[in-house]
Amino acid sequence: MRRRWRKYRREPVVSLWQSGRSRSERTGERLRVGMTILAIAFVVVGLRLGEVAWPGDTDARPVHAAKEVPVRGEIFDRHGTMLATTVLVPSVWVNPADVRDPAKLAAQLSAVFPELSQARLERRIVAGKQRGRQFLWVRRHARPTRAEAAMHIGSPGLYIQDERRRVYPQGRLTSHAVGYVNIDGRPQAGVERVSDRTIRKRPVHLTLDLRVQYALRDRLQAAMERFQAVAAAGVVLEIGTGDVLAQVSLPDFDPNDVQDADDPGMLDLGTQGVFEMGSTFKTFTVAAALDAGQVQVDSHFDATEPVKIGRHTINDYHPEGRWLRLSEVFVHSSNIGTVRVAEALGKENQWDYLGRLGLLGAIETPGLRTAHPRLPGAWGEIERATVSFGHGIAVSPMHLAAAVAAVVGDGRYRPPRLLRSEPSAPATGALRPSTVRQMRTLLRQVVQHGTAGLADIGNYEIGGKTGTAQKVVNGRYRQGARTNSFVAAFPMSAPRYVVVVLLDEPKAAPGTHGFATAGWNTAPLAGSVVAGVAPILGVPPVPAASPDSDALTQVALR
Amino acid sequence: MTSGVEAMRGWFVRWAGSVDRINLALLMGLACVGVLAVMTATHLVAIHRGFDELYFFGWHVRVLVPTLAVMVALSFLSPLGVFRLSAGGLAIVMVLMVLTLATAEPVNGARRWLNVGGLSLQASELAKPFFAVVTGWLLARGRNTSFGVLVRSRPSYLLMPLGLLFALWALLVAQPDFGMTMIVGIAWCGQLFLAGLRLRLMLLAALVGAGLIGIAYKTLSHVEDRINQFLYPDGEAGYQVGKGLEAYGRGGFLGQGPGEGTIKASIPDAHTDFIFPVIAEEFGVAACIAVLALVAGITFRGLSRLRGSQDLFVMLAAGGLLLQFVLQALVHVAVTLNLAPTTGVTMPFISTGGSSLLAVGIAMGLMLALTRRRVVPAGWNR
Repeated sequence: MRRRWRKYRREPVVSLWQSGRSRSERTGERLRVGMTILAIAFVVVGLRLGEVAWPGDTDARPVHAAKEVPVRGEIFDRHGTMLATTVLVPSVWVNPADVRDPAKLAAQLSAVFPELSQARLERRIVAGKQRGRQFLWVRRHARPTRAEAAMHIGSPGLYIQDERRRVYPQGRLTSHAVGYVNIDGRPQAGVERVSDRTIRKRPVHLTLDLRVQYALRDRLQAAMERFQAVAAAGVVLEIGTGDVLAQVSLPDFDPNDVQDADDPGMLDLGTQGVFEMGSTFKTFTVAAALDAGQVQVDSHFDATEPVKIGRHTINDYHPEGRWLRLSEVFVHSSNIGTVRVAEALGKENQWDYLGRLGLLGAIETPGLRTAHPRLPGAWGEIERATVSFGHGIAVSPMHLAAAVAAVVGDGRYRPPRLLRSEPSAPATGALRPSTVRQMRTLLRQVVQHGTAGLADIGNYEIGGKTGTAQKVVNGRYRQGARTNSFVAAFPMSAPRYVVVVLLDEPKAAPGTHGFATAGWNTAPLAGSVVAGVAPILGVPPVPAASPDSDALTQVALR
Repeated sequence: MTSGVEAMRGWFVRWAGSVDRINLALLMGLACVGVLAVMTATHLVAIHRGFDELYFFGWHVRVLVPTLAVMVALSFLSPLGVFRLSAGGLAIVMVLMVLTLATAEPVNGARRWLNVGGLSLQASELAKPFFAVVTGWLLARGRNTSFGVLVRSRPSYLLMPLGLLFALWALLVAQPDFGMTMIVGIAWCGQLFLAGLRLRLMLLAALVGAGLIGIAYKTLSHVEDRINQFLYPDGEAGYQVGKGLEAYGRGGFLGQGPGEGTIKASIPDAHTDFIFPVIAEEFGVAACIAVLALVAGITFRGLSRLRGSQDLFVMLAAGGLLLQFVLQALVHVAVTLNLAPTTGVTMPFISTGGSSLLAVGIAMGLMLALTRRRVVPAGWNR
């Protein structure tokens, strides 16, 4: 009995410890179990580490930061004046997921930026929170003082980040030539777009001369106002190099503050607009015929009656009703005569010369990319006739300038270029030197004795050709709506520069006696441009009524 | 004189021959990694708080060097010495904890810091290693096999460690310190498991633990907040964890490079509770895994060395110390990985800190002392 009691006292009713082998042996076993559990814990943590670091796992790795605007080099004109640069400006954004009190933050932000609607901001943050968005712009390109005020709000999820902003110090003056980039730094137009890759790598110098650019834009603007034109375009080209010294298209835009990318003013008429140029094209028809040897300067052409081709009749603006010499055809701008010249030139030759003068394809050179010309669908008798005086074919003003440069320069076609730092495309032979000499004389005569007398401003020996084209609207020629152009070169004894100006739908103005043809508007406009830019470019005026120049004319025309 | 030097040499040789040199090297390695991490993680924090940019770095080194010295010094102790130091230490530290509660001003809503002669001391950190050793002793009491005597257990052997745990818990919850309460409790259960508690009683302990967490969730507002923030991430704690995850993601596997971290500037407590994502952002997850490998190496090396031991006190005390160490590391990392609620636990030997660093040094010193190879079975606890 007693022994039993003792035994009972020595053994607990319930054993706390697992029975079995010796204690330390069991502890060793349990150590092994514990180590296994710990090893599993380490593996779990290690796997989770791999998961959160796994690239592209958006759940564990919130993508917050704003996409970075790419770096761009500055753009300068040929003399080093800055046309485009990049500055750092603060932008404000929020991570909606981190915002605790959207209403409060919206109120604080709209207090800093009064232009932001508090209600709308709150809605956007709340909506972003619901959709789990990590990024929301509040205000891009903020004033630094405002951004600092926003920073002092100090709310979680509110961030200020410096962004690259493209700035164009010359504003509208170079808007079409330089183009612009959008708020995310994507190039939209002009050199910015054409030479995007180059500009992303380094700064570039353009061929533009800002002084010439200013003079051209100033005269174009004045003319556009005076003749109530809907648009205007102009190009100044250096003949020996193909450098574009100035390129203006009006209306233009402020590249620092682009409002509506679909606005008509956003189209660069100088390179992207194609126009039926009218009589200026006679320059190419006559030059081709002379060069091919099919006609001579003193050849005569029957302009007694209108030309009938199929159902069409081609007439002259001022019918002379007689046989005309080649120089008379050109100087008096006879459509009938030009058609006869084209007939003499021949079907194949006519097309071939258009190609040699770069008028059949888009111009793609460093910094410049024009629209493709609109070419006739067939090459029959009627198309040949209309193309000879500049209808049924539409090219850009840049095309016109480059082709005229070849005609009056050295007979070689140089694709114009806008980027000075890159080599230009090689020049290709187009016309014989004798043709060039004859064309210089003819173009000078147009100004001296023909339709473009008003262009002869300032004794700069201007030569040129007027063009008054019926405007095509919705596929039909519209009565009274014209595209007037003028191609000029100076000084005509040894031409160095080509000027092309174009007015879209100019009206008669006081002093033009009710006329609205090119001789009354674009011719004097081109003259004033030449008078404006010649001093800048260092071209001296020649003494008035120099007998030499007339002597030159007589010799060449004989 | 000569004999004195000889005695010293013999003493040192005995220590060097018996101490776990591999683990000593691993611990030193971890401390070196910590110096590097603190250098990169703290300079922005220091600037934000208006100090010189090397303020925290200098502080860390000034604490780390004495800590490592203390660790090596403690490793010379015998198991009996370990127990005596711990018992005395625990008594003193628990008194300090009561004093802390009575006098300290709350910082971030918790009364943890006791001002001792110009230095602020977190007594509860120091209580941790001493508590593990004393618990081990209580559990092993009378159950030592050294003399071949097998004494059947009595419930009181369990009640005393339980009472000690509740006493410490009371002091911790009063502060309050959620993270340390958890770590101390889980390590205590681990010691019970190692001591060979019946599995169904282990299950009961787990149920009770879960129940206690439930009660804490219902009654203590800060516990409720932390757990809610973990379950439904939002607000400031969610911000901290979110920034941490962002840093891991930005770092990727190889990191952005030293000094290239940017998210670290906006992680709250980047120098202490969230130092691991800072390492990840600059040195990559590869470096994080290397640090975890060091921690795991120290733990497994220590635990496997215990398996051959015949001394139950040594096994339970050192096991408890190692468990606290590894749990602290795992919880620290798990919190930053959003695998556990935010607890405010430092990374051993890596995070900046005074008391917590010293406590880890003491713990590892005691662990090294207990895991020394002994030629004769110790008969110290007669």
